[in-house]
Amino acid sequence: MDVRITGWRYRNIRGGLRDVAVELGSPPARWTLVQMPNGTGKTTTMALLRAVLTGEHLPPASVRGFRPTDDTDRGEFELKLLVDNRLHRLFLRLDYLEGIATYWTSRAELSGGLEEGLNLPAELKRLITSAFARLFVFDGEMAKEIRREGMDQAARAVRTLYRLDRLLDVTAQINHLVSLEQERAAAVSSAQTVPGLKNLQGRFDTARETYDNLVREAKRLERRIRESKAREEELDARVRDRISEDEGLRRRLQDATHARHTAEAQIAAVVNEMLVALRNPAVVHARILARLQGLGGKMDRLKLPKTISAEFFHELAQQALCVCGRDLGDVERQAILERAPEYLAENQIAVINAMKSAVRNSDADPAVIDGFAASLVGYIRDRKRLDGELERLEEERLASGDDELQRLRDDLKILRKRLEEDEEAHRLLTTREVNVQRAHALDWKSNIPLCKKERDFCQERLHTATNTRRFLLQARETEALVRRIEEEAFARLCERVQARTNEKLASLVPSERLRVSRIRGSLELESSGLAAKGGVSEGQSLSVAYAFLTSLFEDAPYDLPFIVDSPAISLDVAVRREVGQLVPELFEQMIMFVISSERPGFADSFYRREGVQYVTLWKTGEDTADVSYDVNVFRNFHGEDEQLAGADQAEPVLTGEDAP
Amino acid sequence: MYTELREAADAVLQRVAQPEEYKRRLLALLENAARDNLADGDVRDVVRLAEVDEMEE
Repeated sequence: MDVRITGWRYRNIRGGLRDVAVELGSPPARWTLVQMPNGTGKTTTMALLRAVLTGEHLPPASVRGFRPTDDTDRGEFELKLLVDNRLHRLFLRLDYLEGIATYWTSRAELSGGLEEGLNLPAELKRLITSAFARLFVFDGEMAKEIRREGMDQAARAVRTLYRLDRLLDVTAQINHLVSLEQERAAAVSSAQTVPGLKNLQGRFDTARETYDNLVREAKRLERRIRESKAREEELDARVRDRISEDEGLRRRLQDATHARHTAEAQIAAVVNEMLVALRNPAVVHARILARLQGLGGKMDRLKLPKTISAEFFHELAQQALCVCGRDLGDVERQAILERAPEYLAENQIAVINAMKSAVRNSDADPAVIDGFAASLVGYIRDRKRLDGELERLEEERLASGDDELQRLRDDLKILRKRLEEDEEAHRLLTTREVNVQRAHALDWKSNIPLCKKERDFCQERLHTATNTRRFLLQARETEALVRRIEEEAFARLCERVQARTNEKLASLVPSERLRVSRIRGSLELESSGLAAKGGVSEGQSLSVAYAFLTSLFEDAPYDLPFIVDSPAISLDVAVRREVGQLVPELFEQMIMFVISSERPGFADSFYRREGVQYVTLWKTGEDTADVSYDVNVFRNFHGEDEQLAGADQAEPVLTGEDAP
Repeated sequence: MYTELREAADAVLQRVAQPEEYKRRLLALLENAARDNLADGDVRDVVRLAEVDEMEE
């Protein structure tokens, strides 16, 4: 991303900057030297540039700090930027009365109208924080801060500029996904540790094993019941055979057996007819019939369901009076119409009307059921009588001394008892009836449907917990890898920036082996003469900062302008020349605010370069300022406070081929 | 910058026993993140490719 400054304008800013514009051209010159004498707003301009590039909040005291005079109500600073060749005009508006700063943007590609706020491309907005802006809108204070122990300016700059901070966005997203997964799983199971997981696995295994055992037991009982029934039939047949051996009893046995079969068939037929008849509730009992008819009558009297239908309220809203007798106004009508949809719709009314009609027209003769019941009682009595008859036949045969029959009867008795027990055990094992389960205190250990429920529940919890745990571990693994990669990439970048910084330092400070030994939070320096001198000089400090910043920005994915206040003021002339030679080559746009005393050694190193713009801005009165783009004015200008000291150093006016 | 990131990722991932697909996708994810080009669902898809031992505490 390519960012260039093409100019700025002051309106009502302290330092006599009532209405002054500095134009750098579009595209701007690669190097711009802006000469502003002390007191004309160099520091102010740096602060305004940082503010308008970051959109930072300015407290009222800072806002009023830009006020030129007490009678000025408002001020403005406008910065013109090319972002990837698209013009952005950024405005900082200062309300001196209220102490409020607001930001505005005008973008050429969006018709140029003013938009509230700082509307730079999102990527750029994210990059240029207040701390970051100080790296490229740079002053001597920052040079010290880069090296100050405990400050992490240097490390932060590497991370931000080379977008390593974006990798940490991935870790934030991973953590967010883990939270979502845990929330989702919490509804089913909270087990996400190994003991929790083992516990769930144990419960599931037990439930599954119990279920398998219960199913096996049910099958065993079914087999035994089948066998017992077959054996019962066989024993029954043998009992009948023994009785039939007696000629006198055979005939009676045949008649009784036949009659019993008939009674059984009649019982089954009556029961079926009764079940069909009982589908009409009115037939059950005269009292039920009376109550159903009563309900139908009541619905008629209440005009139900009509009175709770939406249509009813629509009709009501047309009436002059409500059903309660009060007048209906527009407000009431509106409220009735708004609430009408909450009542029954036409299709629902039709269903209820059908039910109402069925209830009202309930008609049946409860005597029908009484008739069925009487028949049933009669047939059951017949069956019981015939069972007695069969038993008597057996007794008579036994009385004649048939030991075999006695043995068969004993076997049958034992068999039937066992059959009864097995059938009951099977019923309890397989029943789904909640009432039966409750009455016999059945649980998942003794009832197959309950056990299946427990097994499925445990399985679902285990499955969810396992998935959650797996995702948690996968997330942890990935997050750890991202952090390690970020650290490794950071170390490699620091190594590269450090090596390049040291290469430049070797040219800038050749007299002393000053070098960056490590970039951690801050820059750590080492030098043979450092301890003896009690630390680095201000000039060396500035050299380190330039060497570091130029190395830092060298391969960055952003091409930003480098703006520097008094770049050479604390450097001796030899270092100035080095800085003047080395630093400008490293930036595609460099704007340098200088005072006249920085010209020797530094500014004059530019005079032979192509593509340099010279701007001189000075106060022409208490409240006015002027701007010149003439190199000769630049070279020979002396501010009021500097005029005296620099009078004997006036430079010759350039003419002809000397002029750049 | 992407060179350093790729080299750093290669160096770290070389020492890790994970499927090649996971490593490839993780690197692509990080490069996209550095380019501000992270799509929804990308992170989840990559995370799910990691091989882990669930019973390891």
